Amino acid sequence: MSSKKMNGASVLLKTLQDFGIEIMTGYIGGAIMPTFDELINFPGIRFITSRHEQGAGFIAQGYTRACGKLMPVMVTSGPGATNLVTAVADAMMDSVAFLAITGQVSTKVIGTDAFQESDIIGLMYPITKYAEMLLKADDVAEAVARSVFIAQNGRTGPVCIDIPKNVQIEETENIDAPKALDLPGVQTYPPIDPDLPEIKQAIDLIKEAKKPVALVGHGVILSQAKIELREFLEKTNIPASFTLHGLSSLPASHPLNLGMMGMHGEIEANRAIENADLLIALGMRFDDRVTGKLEEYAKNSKVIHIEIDPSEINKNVKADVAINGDLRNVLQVLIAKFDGLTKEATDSRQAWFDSINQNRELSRKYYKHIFEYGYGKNNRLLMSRIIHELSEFTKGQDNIVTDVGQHQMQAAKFYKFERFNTWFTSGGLGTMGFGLPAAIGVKIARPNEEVWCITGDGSFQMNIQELGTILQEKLNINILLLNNGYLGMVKQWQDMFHNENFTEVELTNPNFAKIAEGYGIAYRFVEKVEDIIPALQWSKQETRSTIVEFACDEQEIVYPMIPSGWTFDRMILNEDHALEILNKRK
Amino acid sequence: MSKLHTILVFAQNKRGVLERITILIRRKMYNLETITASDTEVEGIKRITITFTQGDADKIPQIVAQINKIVEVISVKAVDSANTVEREILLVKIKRPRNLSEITSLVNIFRGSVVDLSEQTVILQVAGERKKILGFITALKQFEILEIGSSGIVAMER
Repeated sequence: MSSKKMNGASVLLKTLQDFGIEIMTGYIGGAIMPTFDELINFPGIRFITSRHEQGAGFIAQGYTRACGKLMPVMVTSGPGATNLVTAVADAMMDSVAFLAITGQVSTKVIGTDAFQESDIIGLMYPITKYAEMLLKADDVAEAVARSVFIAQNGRTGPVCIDIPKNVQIEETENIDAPKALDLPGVQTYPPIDPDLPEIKQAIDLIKEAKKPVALVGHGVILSQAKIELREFLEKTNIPASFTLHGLSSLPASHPLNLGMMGMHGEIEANRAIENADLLIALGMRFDDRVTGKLEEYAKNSKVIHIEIDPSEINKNVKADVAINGDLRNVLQVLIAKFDGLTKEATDSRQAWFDSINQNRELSRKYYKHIFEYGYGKNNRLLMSRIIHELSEFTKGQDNIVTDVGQHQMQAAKFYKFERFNTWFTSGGLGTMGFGLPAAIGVKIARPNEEVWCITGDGSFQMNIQELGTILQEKLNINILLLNNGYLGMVKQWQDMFHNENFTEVELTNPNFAKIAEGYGIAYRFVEKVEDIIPALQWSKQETRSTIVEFACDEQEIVYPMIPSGWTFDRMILNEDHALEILNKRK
Repeated sequence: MSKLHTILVFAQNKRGVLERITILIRRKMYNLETITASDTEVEGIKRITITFTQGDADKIPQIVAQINKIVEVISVKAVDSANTVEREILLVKIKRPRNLSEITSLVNIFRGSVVDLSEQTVILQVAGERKKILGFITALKQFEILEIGSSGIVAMER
């Protein structure tokens, strides 16, 4: 123990710095002021002030997902902390390492309904891996070390430290975190034993599979298994489909890439899953948007589930072989152990790829009007066409951040990701408002790369105040505003399943050109297909942030679709099929 | 009586552990039957016994896996009742009958005891497994029961 004394606030910042933290975000306020006071003594920590605590939460998520490092979010008590809750819940659902530091009223008045007091630990428990209130400055160093460790180990996720104002001010001699932490419930993953019986069982299933599909999830990105995934798929000759968060883990141009699976997945991906005899789930959790009707899912196939979180195994889909471990390591072992397919499996693989290619043809046929025409029924632009143009223009190399809704699904489908971990979206929680602040985080993490924020008129306005952060930080982000004047995805559901009762989905929107002007952002409006590429070119060349607003067709529907709770064999392929299957043909 | 699921948890004695466990149980749509927490032979380690009656047995491994993720939890398992001793203590307050021997003989059958006697009321105590506790309550039906309280189940594997 050092005899030097520091206050709790300084110990907090020092410990973060000791753990390599270079940047934080958040918003100042009463109960956290002592810690903000000390920031001046830590010039190695850059601080980004957002315009709303939720914005800060998504800035941190974008940053962490882009560079793998933590960006703690520091906010005040009460409303500061409650504003952060949505971003924390989002990080929990999408397994993003996240550290929330919330100021709290002094310990003397906790529980008295003091000004800006709220029970943040109580609010955070269900949506964090771990949350604790610090009662003494003596505990700060160890608690920060503990939180940083928990957020970044095992299945990554959010952690909250709630620090009362007096604890920030109180002095302590405990200024260094202990080397060893006592955390019985945190799993770490030593290299897996290659002689584990499950490894052999998995290899046997793979060798004999005639119609296998890999289901690739976020775990591949989180474990940085870029090379291993590709090698595994190529060596075993297994086609791969992707969850929303698995996208960008294998180049879209790779012949084994079937695209996204699930509710709005590609026909070739979903049909392959429907007809497979073996599903190999790699770091994914069989979300309901992926499985459709659970009772019928994977009924005729064996399932190998490789997953870091043991509580995900057998949660939704029963695994025939389950391997609990870090995906990258497990794939390395499987690659090493795999010694070729059986003759029978090799012989049947051609027929499997033939059926997949037939479905690829079908997809291309249904998307023809998008690629060849590009306008919807009201002669306005199709979102899918805009994304397609962006994909061509950037050759699939740039960072894509989206909000939530139709534009998100079309981005997932029509942007052809060629580069690993270049796709950032809110999947599990599906938070509108994620896009703009997350794009800020990605840009900060990757300052020399292009960042495209694809958003809709609904989502954009949910965290539009973060344009102020862009202004203050002088960031160069390309915002593509796909404006159809509606909450398109909700409208799509109303159209298909709610008797076309378009209640509360039409938005009266502001003049976005003037909003752009107010924030010092360059602006362009596009309503013709031939103007898309020039606008993208212009946006890329601009040295400040840009908004390109597109006049989008409110009649666009995202196809194909497996409606919630439906089986894969009832996938709605296109509009014609929708009229038939939904009994809407007039 | 529907089947009782029992989960036994050992955890560090820290603030919030019990809350995190009960949040999980609520999220999985279970309703607690009993929950007990007490000291163990190791200082700083608590034993928590949780039981539920309703619900889908398939979800039990899920709850166990989820509880295992709580940072302070050292171990957790769903115990098999065939290999486990499960006991609780029941206190029953009844209106004092005219003839006390009626009640003392009943209490003796259940190997319980009279722990309090006043002019108006008698408090009885019985310890045992759930079946015995429920049996004792049924046997008391002829008396006027004023209050029932029990400790909840404590489980220990053989």
